[in-house]
Amino acid sequence: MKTRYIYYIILLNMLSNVVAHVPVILIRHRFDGAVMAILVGSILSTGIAMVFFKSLQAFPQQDFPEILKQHTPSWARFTILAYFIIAWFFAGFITIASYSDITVRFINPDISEWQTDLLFILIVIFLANSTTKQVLYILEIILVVNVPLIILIFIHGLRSPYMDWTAVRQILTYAWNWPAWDALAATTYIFTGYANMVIFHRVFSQQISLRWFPLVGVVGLLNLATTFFLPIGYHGTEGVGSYIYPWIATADSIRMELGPVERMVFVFLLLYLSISLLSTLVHWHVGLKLVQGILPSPSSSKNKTWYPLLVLCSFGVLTLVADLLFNEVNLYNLSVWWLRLRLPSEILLVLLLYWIARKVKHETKSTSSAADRR
Amino acid sequence: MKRSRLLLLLIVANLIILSGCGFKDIDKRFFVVNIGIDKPDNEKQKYKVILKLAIPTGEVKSGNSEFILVEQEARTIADAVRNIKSKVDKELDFSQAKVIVIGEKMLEQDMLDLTDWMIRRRDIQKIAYMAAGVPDARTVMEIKPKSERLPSNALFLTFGGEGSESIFTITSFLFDFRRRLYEKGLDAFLPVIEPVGEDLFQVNKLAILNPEGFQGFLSPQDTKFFHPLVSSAHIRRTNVTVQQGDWDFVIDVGEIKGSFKVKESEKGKVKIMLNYEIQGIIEESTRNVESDQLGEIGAIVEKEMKRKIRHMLSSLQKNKWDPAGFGLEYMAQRYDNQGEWDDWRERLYPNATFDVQVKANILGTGFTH
Repeated sequence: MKTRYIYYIILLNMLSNVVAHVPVILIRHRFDGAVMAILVGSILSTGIAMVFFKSLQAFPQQDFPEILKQHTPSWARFTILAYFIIAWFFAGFITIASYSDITVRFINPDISEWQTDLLFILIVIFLANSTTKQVLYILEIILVVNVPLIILIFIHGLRSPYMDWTAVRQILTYAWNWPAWDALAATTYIFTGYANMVIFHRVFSQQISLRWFPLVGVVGLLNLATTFFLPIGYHGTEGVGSYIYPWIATADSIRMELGPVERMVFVFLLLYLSISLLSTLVHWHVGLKLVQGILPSPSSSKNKTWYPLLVLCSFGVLTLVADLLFNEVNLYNLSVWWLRLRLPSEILLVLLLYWIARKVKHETKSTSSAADRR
Repeated sequence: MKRSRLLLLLIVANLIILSGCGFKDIDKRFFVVNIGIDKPDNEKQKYKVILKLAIPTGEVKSGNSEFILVEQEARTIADAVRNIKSKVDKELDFSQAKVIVIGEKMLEQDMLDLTDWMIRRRDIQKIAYMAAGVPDARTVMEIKPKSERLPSNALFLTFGGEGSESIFTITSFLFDFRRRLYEKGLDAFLPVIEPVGEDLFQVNKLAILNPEGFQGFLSPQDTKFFHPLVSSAHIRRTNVTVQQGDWDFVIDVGEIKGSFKVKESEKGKVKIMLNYEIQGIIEESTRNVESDQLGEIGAIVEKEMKRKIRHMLSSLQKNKWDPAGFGLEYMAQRYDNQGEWDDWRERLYPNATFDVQVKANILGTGFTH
């Protein structure tokens, strides 16, 4: 696979978090450290991601379960993978749950939430059951269609005279506050797309050059700044705190007089529908492959075909049940907690990988030097 | 292959279930084009909600806009709307509700409470135009300009900038109004609609609101020179009238630009520097004007504009109104955020000095001397 697919995975995660909880968390901390969190988080995440890719270079065409299988005891492998399965399931769950909430609220209030959920889940299951390569192709097609339009909305919003840059500057005067942990966790989540490489790395055979990788950090920083400052520019430093979905309120405030529809919010919602589904698809595909890393597929060919479907369906059923039990507030609190836990887990994952990679390098070095001596 | 077909079938089946319910045809809907809120006659109620419902007609002709006004008093806007639903035969659809008019007597109320319903509802657009109705919302909504083809279209054209462009009309969208209500150092305003005769209305002044509530009206003359200071202003055409002894002349301004800076030169002293730039030609004059006099005329215009702008600024400062956002601009410069708002409101703004610079570029004398 071409290297560009890696950047698609990272970009997808950056975009999909615009609608969900990241902007709300950042905006909640706008007076106490969100600006600093954006700066620190961008640098931190880019660094972590570079260490991650550097470590992966030691294992061409291997995914994370395979690496663990070769280099760690099986009890460690089971615990780590089980934890990751939960994490990846959760990433998908939060996206799908918050988007079905948005769909019911803004697109069609006449249908019930579980029906929307069911529709989304079925689509995701249908697509997530493809091969890893196919998932990457789907990713490219949908991003190529959607991203230009999303950038158009961003630019239109930034250039509008109703975008109040004075409010943005007022928030910038609060920059010298120590970043809050929540805000930092939310910021770094924007960059976490690379973590999906634990599975996707299997299909990349080439060495990934890190020379231009800091550019990803710059793009992420710009994306974060847009996510955070555009709602502030439209709703003011105080007023922005009153919205549950600041970005949808902002999209509703962007007016395209001569566009096909005057209210940009409907275009925005449709674009983000596909981005959100795509994000869930990627997360659950990774989740599925991680499950297969713990419990290998059964040998008989008939069971083999049903096995991935069974896993994905259990993801789906869990989502349906959980979404019935949780309301908007629970969902928000849950995702805040998940984000808080996620940052240390991510750092642990990268450190683990780094440690294994060093060990492997060390071993090959000592064996080769031993061979030299002989 | 079989599995994926089964899944596809499930998705399609789900789609069929979903599309079935809840969607009403367009001929079973009433489009609300205008929402009005007035002071109720009954003391116990809080709002009188008036909805203007468009009646769709087959052919579109000038002066043929048909509508009905339905009103209801209640403690909350939501209740009033529910009650109105019981009075009409079709489902109310708010997707075209583009103008929200608040009656003059309602301006005293808490505006955050009043706009709460509109912000919470998903189907009211955040880009609806806000306005104040004098003497009340109902009178304004009853006006039916003869040129109107669709109900309330005259108002849409006035505020949207697609039709008439008047320097006296400053548009305020619902989201913008709300942001200004919350924001410290940036006051909210509403353009005021007044009836003129039977079937015309005029929009030429502003109602100013700040966190404490309704403050008063800004006169048409002040509104005209205030308009360029609003960052979202898109109307640039105006005129300047100068009276000098027995010589009256008018400059047709093709483009007016205004900007301001706030400078704290020394502790506790703030200077607000305003910069205006106009470009235009002479539109009317009671005296012959030679082309070589243009520079001289420019100087006269600058002096006259400075006087008018100072008048506008002093009426803002005297009343502690700040719809241009001087306060926000000041706070955006100050990194020590503790107490900046109190400083500004209590001491700095009342004692601020203004430095007004005007650059008038008169391009010609029109078609004659």
